[in-house]
Amino acid sequence: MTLADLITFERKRWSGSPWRPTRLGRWLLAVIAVLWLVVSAVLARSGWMWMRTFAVSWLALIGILYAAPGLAAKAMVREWREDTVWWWLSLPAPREKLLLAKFTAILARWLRLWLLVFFYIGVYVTVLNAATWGLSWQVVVEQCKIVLGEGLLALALGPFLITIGMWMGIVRREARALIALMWLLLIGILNFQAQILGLKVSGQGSDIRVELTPNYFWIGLEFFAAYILAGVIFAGLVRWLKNRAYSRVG
Amino acid sequence: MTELLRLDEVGKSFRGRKVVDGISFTLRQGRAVGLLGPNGAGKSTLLKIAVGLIAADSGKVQLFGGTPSWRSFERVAFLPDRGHFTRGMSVSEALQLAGRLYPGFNPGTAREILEDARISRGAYVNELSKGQEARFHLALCLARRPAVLVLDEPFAGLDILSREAMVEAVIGAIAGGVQSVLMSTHDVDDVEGLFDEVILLRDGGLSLWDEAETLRARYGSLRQMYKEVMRG
Repeated sequence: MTLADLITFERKRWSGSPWRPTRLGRWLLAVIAVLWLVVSAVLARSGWMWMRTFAVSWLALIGILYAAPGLAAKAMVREWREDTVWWWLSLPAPREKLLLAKFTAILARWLRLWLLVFFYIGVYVTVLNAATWGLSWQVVVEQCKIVLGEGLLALALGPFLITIGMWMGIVRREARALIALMWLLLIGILNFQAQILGLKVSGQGSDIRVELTPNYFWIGLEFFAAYILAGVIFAGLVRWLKNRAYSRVG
Repeated sequence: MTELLRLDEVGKSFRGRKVVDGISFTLRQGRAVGLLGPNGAGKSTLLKIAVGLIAADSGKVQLFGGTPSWRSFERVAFLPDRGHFTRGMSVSEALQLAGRLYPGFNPGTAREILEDARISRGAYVNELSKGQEARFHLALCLARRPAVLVLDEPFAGLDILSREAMVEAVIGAIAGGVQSVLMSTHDVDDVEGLFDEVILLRDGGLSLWDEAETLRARYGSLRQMYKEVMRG
């Protein structure tokens, strides 16, 4: 059995069946889509040129960063909640391979979401926002740079957050506690990001400007620490499965 | 006969409650052993300990002469009592994937069982009836032609026809080369002629372990034995 087979197994378990949302789910999706369009249109027509780009892309960044540990925790929690854990653990494969396949499948799913969100932001910034206000090419490029920076930041933090999410899904299998924990984590991370990216908002009304003066030393240190922590957590999860520590709680 | 599985004084507690209490038994090659007992007797926990999915608090487990590990599952097929293996897949996709996940998986064997159960290969696993789903999962296990087949309450919640079909499939598998079977159930009626040996659990402890023939001779039937021992 190859790692690719296990990744296919993980992906098929999520995406093989046609997705059929409940009636409430369909309404919620419709409401979210309409709200998102309204917010985008209001921001595009508002006078705060820099703020509207900033707000839309940072809202998306929060969403995409939240989705990473969220998807990972959900994937772990559902193994126990849906009693599929014994099928999963009785696959004839080493525990590190099982976890790596799960991690890769979650990452692939999250990357699809990341592409979708930043494609939307790209269209928003370069077409909707720029066309509405007749922005110069130079301003559009400047806005794109900020959006691209945010996108790459989210991309780089994704694998770390997914590992954290997997750990959270194992340590605490209760959904509400997980959601609260993830928001706390996210607020902490975003606050730290704003500090090390040197985010500065200046001016008033339509002259609001957003500038980034990143501190590359701290950014490098942050990613180094994040990936070391992710490695330690992953090794801990493998050990946890190997020692069958999950069986202590019944 | 070669000993495939040995449990020595195995014990397990959950949150201070003793679920499995000092149980010892062996599973030998070519034998079908029934693990009988009421709900909550510790059957599922004991099976998971036996195949290495759960760690015992005390005692020793030996599978194929060594400590159970992920490698054991190359020769052991475990059918849990709950949960879907392939919830989001069609039957045909699941068979294809099982062929890649399990060494020695024979899709022909699985197809035979599925045809017998009138399961369409295009159907989604989560849309099958309870009986069909149970037979589909059994087919996945049998098609691996494992050295040890471990079934945890495979008939729970099934109608009489599905139960009979499952028993026939297991009997067919034993005749067709699955070397040993360890199966838990609280439904004694369906397995009257299936087992070579019977282990009876009560409140986590071992009440009785003997040859099925001996028990039938002594009590008249396994059902009668179950009732008398449980009342006694």
